[in-house]
Amino acid sequence: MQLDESLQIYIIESRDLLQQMEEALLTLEQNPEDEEKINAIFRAAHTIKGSAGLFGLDFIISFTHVAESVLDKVRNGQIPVTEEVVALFLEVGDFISKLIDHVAEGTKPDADTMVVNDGLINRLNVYLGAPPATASALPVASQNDASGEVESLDGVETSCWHISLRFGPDTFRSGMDPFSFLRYMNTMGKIVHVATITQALPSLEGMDAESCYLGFEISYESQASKVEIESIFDFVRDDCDIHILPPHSQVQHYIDLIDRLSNEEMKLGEILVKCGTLTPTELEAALAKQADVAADDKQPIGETLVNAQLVQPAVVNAALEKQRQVKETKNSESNFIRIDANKLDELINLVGELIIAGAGATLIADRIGDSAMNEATSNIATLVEQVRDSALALRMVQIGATFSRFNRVVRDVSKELGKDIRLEISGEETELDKTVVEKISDPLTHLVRNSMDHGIESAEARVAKGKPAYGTLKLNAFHDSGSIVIEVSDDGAGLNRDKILAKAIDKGLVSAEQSLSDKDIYNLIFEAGFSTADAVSNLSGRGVGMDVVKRNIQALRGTIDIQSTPGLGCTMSIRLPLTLAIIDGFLVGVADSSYVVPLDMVVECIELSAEDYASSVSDKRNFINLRGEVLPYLKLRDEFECKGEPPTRQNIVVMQYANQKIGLVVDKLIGEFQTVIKPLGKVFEHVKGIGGFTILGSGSVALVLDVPRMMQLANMESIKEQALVEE
Amino acid sequence: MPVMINTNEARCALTFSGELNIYNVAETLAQIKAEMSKTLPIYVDLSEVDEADAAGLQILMAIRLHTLSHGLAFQLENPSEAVMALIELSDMAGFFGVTQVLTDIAA
Repeated sequence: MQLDESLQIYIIESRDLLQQMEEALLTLEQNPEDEEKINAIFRAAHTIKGSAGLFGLDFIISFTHVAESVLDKVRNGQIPVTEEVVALFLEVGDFISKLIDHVAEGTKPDADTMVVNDGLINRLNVYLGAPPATASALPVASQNDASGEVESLDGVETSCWHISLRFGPDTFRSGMDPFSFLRYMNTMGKIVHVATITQALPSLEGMDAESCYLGFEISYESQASKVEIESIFDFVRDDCDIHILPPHSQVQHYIDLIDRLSNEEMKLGEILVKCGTLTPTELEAALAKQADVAADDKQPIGETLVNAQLVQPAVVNAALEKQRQVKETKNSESNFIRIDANKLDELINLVGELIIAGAGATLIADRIGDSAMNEATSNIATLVEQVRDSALALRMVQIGATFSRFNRVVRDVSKELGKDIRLEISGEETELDKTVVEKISDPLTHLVRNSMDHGIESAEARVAKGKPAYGTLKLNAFHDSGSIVIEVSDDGAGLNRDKILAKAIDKGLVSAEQSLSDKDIYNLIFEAGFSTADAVSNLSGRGVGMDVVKRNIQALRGTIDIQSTPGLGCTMSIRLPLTLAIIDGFLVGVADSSYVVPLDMVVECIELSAEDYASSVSDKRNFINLRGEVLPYLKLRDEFECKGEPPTRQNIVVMQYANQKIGLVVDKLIGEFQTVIKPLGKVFEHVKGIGGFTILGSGSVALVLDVPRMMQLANMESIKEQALVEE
Repeated sequence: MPVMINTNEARCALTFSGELNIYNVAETLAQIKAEMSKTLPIYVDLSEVDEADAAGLQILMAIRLHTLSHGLAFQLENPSEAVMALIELSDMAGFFGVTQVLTDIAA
């Protein structure tokens, strides 16, 4: 039992819960009727509080308790969901997150924090007129009016809860101490009477000291709801036998309890009497009924209750439904495990080494020429490829979590700017590498803020243009030929071409004589020190940012592109490689060197005809006619200044990236190759057109080409060429 | 050594000290199984126990149950605060005979 470790888990889980709470709150703001979300918020606050109890984090318990009480009222419909309530709870969420930060740092909240704490508690208390009503009985009863009557129909006298606990044998081993639950119960109410059940304890000889044999029958006085009491035992529910009977439960429920625990060969009934839960008369009545029920034992207990008209069918159905839901959430929870990201990185590295070693083995097998050996290595190669794919898939995460964080950003920023802006998210199930996701979040935030600040006009301006008063910001993601595309689009005014140009000339970024395409002009906003905002707001407009955005994206081997329509809006598309570590490559040879290009970008391979080659030498023409299309190409031989004469037959590898095509002229086409991309050293940082290197099976090194960068180079050439031809 | 076991012809005395919890219960129980007399009255001294949990208390319960089933005397002496807190929480003062000074022979 590592307290540190479980505390870490608590911190991580709490942050997840707060995130869910925030998402639920934002949904609730749009749709105040969504009961599911209200419950989700309540559960989040409640679980944070409950688990805090296990660690003795009193400052979290005392704060969340108040928040929870208010939420309970919201849930019961006593407090309507208004904008103020949502705003207050967003603050509450932020504050709890701050408290969790304190836990993570191992510090106690300081005086400032306590001021905020008290302020929020005062504001919460406004909603708490009277103390919360005693929660009703059945799990679903709080929403069901019928239950009130049911409980009073045949209820026992005591006003205490009765809780029956049998801890599972692994309780100690999973780091739990049954007494900590009792102690925590005392913080939420009062244990009136407890009977420790030792019947399950074996003799000294047969006993395993680390197994738990304990049980408790507890009579408990508390204002908490059944769900709250249940959640005390969240951590042990799986391997413990827990029965919670609300105050004034029907005698029938006790019969049920006695029935279920009767295999312990003990007189539970007597213990219940001892606990003060049942009066002796009630016990007698219960035992009498138990006999009746036993005679009729083919009926499930639910039906028996309905037949006896003790419970309305609706209540039973709701209870069953609830059980099913609980089961489902439990199942989906157990489908996930948390893994240290470093372990995954290590695995990916090993897989990388495996691929290189595998390629070496294949090469040797080829050389030996033994067919059985060849078959074996090819089988291994197939498996290695599958291992590689699954290892990479482990690191893939959906972008949805990153996107949904923007709900809050958009909400807060639009309030700040006084604009009504709605966020639409699509493609959230698109997956990409975790490291990429982490690094893309900042640039994305900047783009979103930028769009909201500069792109979307004020409501008046929008109405004047005949657009809806609220602006729409869209986040979209999809896969496209081996890369992921993330789009940030707005329906604002679009980029102002003339203004950007004027500003760029003003700042000396371009000269007035240069003739630039719209696209070139739009791209100027990514230059360092550029800003078009007329007024500098505290969000953007200080001229730092867009250049940083571009640099961050380039560091991920990605590109950013702008499409803008004046008056209608603007779309920024970020294109990123799916993974940074391993790709399917296509190996080509020039002179004695090998180069790798990403296979996903290869469209086709064609031969460079002798006449095209001749004209490229005589006219320096660097494009061919590919079925009526102009295909600019680069000769790698020239690009990398390779020595020697080109062979008589040269090939063009046609590559496509972001709707552009380019040809690479190479000597040899070698074939598909699994490529483990290794970064180049710092010395080669500024070499253009090379993204890294890889090690071939033979042990020699091949350079991985940075195709997008090569395209930029080729386009410059072809633009010049075309200009010449047109003249 | 979490527990000291001294046996003379009249009784077997168990002196626990330091921690009596999940971290050492396995060791403790093994020692008890091996060294504790199964036929003599049991005296348990808990004055030096500064930390205890349910796993620790469970061992005491097992010893107590053993004396009950064999009709042996059992006395719990000087429970430290840490132990007493647990005994109170689980309402087992009667079970352990804490309030009684004299030995308690099971019916």
